[in-house]
Amino acid sequence: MTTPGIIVTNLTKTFPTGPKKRMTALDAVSLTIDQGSCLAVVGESGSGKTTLARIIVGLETPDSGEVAVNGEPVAARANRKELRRRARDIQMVFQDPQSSLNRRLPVRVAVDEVLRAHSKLSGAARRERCAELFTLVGLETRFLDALPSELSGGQKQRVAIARALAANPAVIVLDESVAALDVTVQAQILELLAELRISQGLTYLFITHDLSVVQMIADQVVVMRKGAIVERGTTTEVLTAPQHPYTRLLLACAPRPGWKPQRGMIAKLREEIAS
Amino acid sequence: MLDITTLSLTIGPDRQILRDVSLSVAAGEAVGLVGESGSGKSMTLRSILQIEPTGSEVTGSITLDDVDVRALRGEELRRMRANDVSMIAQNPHAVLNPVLPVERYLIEGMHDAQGQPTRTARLRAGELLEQVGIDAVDRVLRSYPHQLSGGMLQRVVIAGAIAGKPRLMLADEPTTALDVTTQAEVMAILDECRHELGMAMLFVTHDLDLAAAVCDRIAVMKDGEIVEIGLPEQLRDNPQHPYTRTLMESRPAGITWTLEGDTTP
Repeated sequence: MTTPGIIVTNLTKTFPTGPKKRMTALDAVSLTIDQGSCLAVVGESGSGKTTLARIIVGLETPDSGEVAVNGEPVAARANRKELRRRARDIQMVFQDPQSSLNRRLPVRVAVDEVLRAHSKLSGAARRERCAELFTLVGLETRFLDALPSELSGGQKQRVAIARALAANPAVIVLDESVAALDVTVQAQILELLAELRISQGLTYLFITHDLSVVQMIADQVVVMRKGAIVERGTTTEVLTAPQHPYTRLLLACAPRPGWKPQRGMIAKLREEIAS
Repeated sequence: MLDITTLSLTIGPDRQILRDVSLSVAAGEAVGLVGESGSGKSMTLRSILQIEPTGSEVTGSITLDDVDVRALRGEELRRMRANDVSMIAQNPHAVLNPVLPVERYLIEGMHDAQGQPTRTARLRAGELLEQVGIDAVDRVLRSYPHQLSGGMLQRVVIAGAIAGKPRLMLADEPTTALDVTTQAEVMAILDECRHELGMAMLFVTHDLDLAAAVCDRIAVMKDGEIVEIGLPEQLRDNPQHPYTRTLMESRPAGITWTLEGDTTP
């Protein structure tokens, strides 16, 4: 039940910001995600949450630290075979589905390319698998040959999820994957993701700034600020009994029924964070 | 004060963007226009200032204190936009000139007959920034847009929008591009300024809870029509239209967090 799916140990990453100047995007970040669970990483812009996601999927190399998936460490300078395996095991779904689709090609191609890279299926078998994956993400198979422009934002995000699933991954990293969608569509995609997690035995790392989204999908939460984790716990713990003043600030600022923005309280919490 | 009556807007031969939109805003009242993308909420705002896309066919009427704002032309239209109605949009970078310090944006309208900034212009700009909760007034006045954060820039834009003491503020998703903590601060400031000046506001957003926090009434839009209009708590506790219900249900059902300072537990 609590086999670790992902173990991140002491990840540090800095980026150059000028001659002899570097900014620390991640400062010794460690976390564990249990197999089959969903961990939400919450933070504002500049908190380092996207850098963390990009290192885990292998789009960035950390300065130091380690990532292990299903017990096997993913070396910082992996060889081609290891990179290929990581690409299969960990997939990513981005905020803008357009970024993983070619606007001149039918959306099926995005899924097909992944099948071609990670399986030995024949053309006909891949076509069949594409149709299966579309059905799995709740898209009618008539959309297989549609162009991205013929689909709505929610439908495109479903294609992006089908594309991620095509690799048969153990982990999916979702970087603000519902942030650009309308709330009604957002709810549908979150529901789909929750179903897939169970039916496909997936582990999720969900990057988001939206506490409502956290509440709807995550079991565990880490709160990040300026490259470091300031609080972690189960979703219920963090949302109902926040310990760190920054978590309290985030909660105090999240619109919800009965909420009013209050400058006094915001200023007070900001002072607490600074001290 | 503002009366929109059976406003319809069509682009080209068959794209109907707005369908019989009727809405009124009383003096000093804040009304939220809530809907998803493509529902027509921004287009309703733009029709008021006559900044809808070229080639739009508009029918119906919009009056501001019984003046037909759709019929205004030239100098009269300019005066309405300068004195009576101001607008804040989502992206402050699109409003501020990147090669001029923000001071120039704020004192733009305050020139004397010789084209020189009036002696009081700079003082007034400082006052405006103080009004939107900026402490380091001198530093901000000298800064260029790229040197300031999004939240700070949006405050500068609000300062500019309230400079002419307008009767009506049109706000089109003014905090959508901001982080959640900055959003709360900017909304609080906007709300305070609105009350101080007794300004009416038409507030476009996709966030029902955000609208409920600062608006007296809320209109829910879908596919170019207003499907329901009511008090925030009416919409929350007793939504009449199925679409309003869908919107409410799209957010988490059991709100688990309440903090000191929440108005309702």
